[in-house]
Amino acid sequence: MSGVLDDYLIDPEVSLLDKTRMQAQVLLPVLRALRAELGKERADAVVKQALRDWSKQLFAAIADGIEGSPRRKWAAIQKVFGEVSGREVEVEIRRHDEAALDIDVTRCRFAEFFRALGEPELGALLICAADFDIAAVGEGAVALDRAQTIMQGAPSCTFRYRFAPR
Amino acid sequence: MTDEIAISHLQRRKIEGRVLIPFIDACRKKFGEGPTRELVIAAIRSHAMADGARWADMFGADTDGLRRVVEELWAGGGGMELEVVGQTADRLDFNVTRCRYAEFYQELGLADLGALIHCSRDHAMVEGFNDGLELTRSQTIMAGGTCCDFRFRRKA
Repeated sequence: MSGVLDDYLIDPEVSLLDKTRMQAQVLLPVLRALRAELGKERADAVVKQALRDWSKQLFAAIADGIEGSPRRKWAAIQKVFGEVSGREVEVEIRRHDEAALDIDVTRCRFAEFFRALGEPELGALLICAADFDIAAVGEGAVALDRAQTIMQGAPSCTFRYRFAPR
Repeated sequence: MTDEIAISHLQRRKIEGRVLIPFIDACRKKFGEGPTRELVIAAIRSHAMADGARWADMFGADTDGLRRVVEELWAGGGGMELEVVGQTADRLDFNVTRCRYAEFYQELGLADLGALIHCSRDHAMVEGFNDGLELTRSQTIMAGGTCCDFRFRRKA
């Protein structure tokens, strides 16, 4: 374990899928209680804001601890995150060169778990959003566009990374 | 579901805390302390009761089983240090003298949230474990006490 993502993973022995399941299991009772009080839309807005802020700050703090350019920070985080998340997905690489990395995820166990639970939006917050927070570490040297995800019900997730010329 | 023993209880609570803490913190800012407390206690309560019922199945629903929960699950992996004061079929008394769960929340400056999320579970847990038992506790390390004095008793 490189240690880069220790603050995110907590325990390297736990798979990212199991970690995310544990978090969903403890969040959902609180979220459901809040939905009963406020209605789904308002309750989900609160959890969305909280988890988005947390994830952005977490990855920004991890990046602060890595030496080098934004591009290098992104690569260091992406390498470890790609390894731990990659165990739960099947991918097809469409393009990989200096300027671009195009990946289609064709199967995703995170999406299977959260869709079976009937909570794909929570899954998107706990897992899918991390890709954008990691890309943001690249500060313009890395851009991510993703038109669709399996979590949202699409047949694949279309990751399109673009890299600024060095 | 992950095997209960494969990951330490402390690590599990830290993993849960990573998402619960920002969520509950956001609720406190938006709705205030009182309503958030009610909401969290109610929700965590059902989670804790389910834990208690599952642990009773794993270890047995008596004070021997409870002691194994405490020593193997809670304190396993170095989560806490404790001294058992006494045990019979009708009671289990122990003091927690070091608590890394409390240290986790205290390091984040969130001991008040720790009491809400972590310590408040124990009363609901024992209800799910065996509703013939009850817990009294006059102080906790999380709340600034020198120890946590757990006293489980068979209900009169």
